[in-house]
Amino acid sequence: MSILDKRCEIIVPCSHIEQLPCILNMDVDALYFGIRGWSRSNRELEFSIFQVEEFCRKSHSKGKKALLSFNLMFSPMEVEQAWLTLKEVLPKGIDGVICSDPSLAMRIRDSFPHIEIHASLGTLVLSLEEAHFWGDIGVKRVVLSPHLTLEEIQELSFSLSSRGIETEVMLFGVRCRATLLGICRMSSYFDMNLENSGLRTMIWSGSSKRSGVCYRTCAQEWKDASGKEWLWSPQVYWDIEKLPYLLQAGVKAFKIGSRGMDWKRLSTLVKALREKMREEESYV
Amino acid sequence: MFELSTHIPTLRILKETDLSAYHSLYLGDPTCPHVPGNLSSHPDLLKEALYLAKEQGKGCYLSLYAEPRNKDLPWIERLLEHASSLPLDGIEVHNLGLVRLIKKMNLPFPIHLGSFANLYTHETAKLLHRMGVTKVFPNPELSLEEINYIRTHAPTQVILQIHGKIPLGISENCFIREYREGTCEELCFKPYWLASGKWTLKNLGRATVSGKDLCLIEYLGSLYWRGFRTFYIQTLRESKRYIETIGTIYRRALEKIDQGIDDYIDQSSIGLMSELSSYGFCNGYLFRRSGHRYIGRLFGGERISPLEVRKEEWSYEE
Repeated sequence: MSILDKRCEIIVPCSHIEQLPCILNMDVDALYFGIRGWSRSNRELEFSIFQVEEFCRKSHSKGKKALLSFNLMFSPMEVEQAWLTLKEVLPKGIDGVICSDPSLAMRIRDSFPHIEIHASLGTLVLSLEEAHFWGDIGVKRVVLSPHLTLEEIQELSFSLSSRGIETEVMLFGVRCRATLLGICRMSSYFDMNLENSGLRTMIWSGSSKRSGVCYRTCAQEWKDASGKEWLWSPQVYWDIEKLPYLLQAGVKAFKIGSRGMDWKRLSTLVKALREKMREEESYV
Repeated sequence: MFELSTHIPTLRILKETDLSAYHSLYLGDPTCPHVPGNLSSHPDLLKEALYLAKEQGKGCYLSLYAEPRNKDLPWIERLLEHASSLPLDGIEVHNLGLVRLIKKMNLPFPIHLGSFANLYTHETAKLLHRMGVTKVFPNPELSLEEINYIRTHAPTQVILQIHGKIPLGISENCFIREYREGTCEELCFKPYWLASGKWTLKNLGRATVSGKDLCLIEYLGSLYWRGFRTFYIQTLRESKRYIETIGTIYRRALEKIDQGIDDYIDQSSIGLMSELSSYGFCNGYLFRRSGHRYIGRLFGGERISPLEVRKEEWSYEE
């Protein structure tokens, strides 16, 4: 294993327990997953809380970290339910929690100081002050917004590293255009339904912040009064060509987003990324 | 007693509009620093506007740009240094980084958290209160029960939007400049409506707001007697007549409610509001529905059966 491999992490999603053996055989450093009702994903792509222990045990047996995505914005009336759920699952071997709510991040920091906290992509960190806000809260890592330029990523990474805070970039994902990712209510404005999600009772399907399910209202054909169409569709991106600059900028981790992706496709992306990392070793 | 506020983006609008209905004003347009004459990116104009508004007895809050990047931080810091010597009553931010910056600069002003800041829980409101935040706009996606829960479980005051377009998102791009030719001066203050089938939206350049106007006039009494006292009307890029008329309707209604008058809706105001609304009304997310729907007896609104409401309340209990 090269110095570069040790320095940088590749993080991939795991959406089903059946997928786990395939993903554990990939050349990745960490897996992230959600538990039903509490992550920004479709409910079918989340785990039961009873599968968490097995997930963590198997991940650790292959030398990989288990990261819990708990980044959905829950109701103020569900704060205690969220906390009880976390208290149940965090001791089962979770290495880190990806979250969006600052008060929850502080609570995890105070009660589980050995667990890493990552400020989720949905926190929309766009400036040094925002990044350091999360640093003050006690996060170990900030997942940077896909809207940032390379220069901004470099500024943020250098500044945060002086406090021992890492940065992460999602290399594969969806970049919204109509609004900044993390601040969008277009989907829920037109279509939102309360759904029963099992152990967690109420899910606001249609709100990307409150359920992870976005109906992509922006991708409809929107025309102005002159009949001109405004192109607002989100774009799927694969920023592997930016890797050399991101490595130079000091980015610590690279995530491949999109839960529910076919594991074969995921494997292809991981191989391409690992290969590119090895090619770029001279940059370190 | 209650407070009614709105945003006033420019000195021209401040000078030309009768703002007697409003107790306080958010000075500046938080959606884009390049809005011509934006009070939150022109310190000299801000000072003039502030003294003018103070002469009218208004509470004045500076409304900062909602989504600053690193390149914006130096000018925002200079603006804040300038503002530190002004008699402001508070600063509105939509961004947790700016809460940190104001705290770091040790500015004496209370902070109001704007609607783009994604506040969803009372615990976060409590945390931010320790950082100087005194008033919050909860995320518009929250229901009335949830907003009330934050109001009653956190030391911050909750500001409730009772009328106007709902802020739905903000982008890094100005779509008006992208799809129209012209300068900001020529383009910015015109209305830009977008349609997709029967759905409508309004674009403000970088920000997108609802096509329908959120309207809570028929629930105002109930909101008041639940304990809400801090109300806001969203009037960015609306006409002078809209700002004046809607403000006056709500101010009169609130004064009647405050005096214990049940029949607080002046029937003529229903027609006036309809006249000023291009695409009708909605209640936002207050009743656990998609934001564009209108639940109620006015404006041809939808009714929810009591059974449906009760079923949801049961399943939502802690």
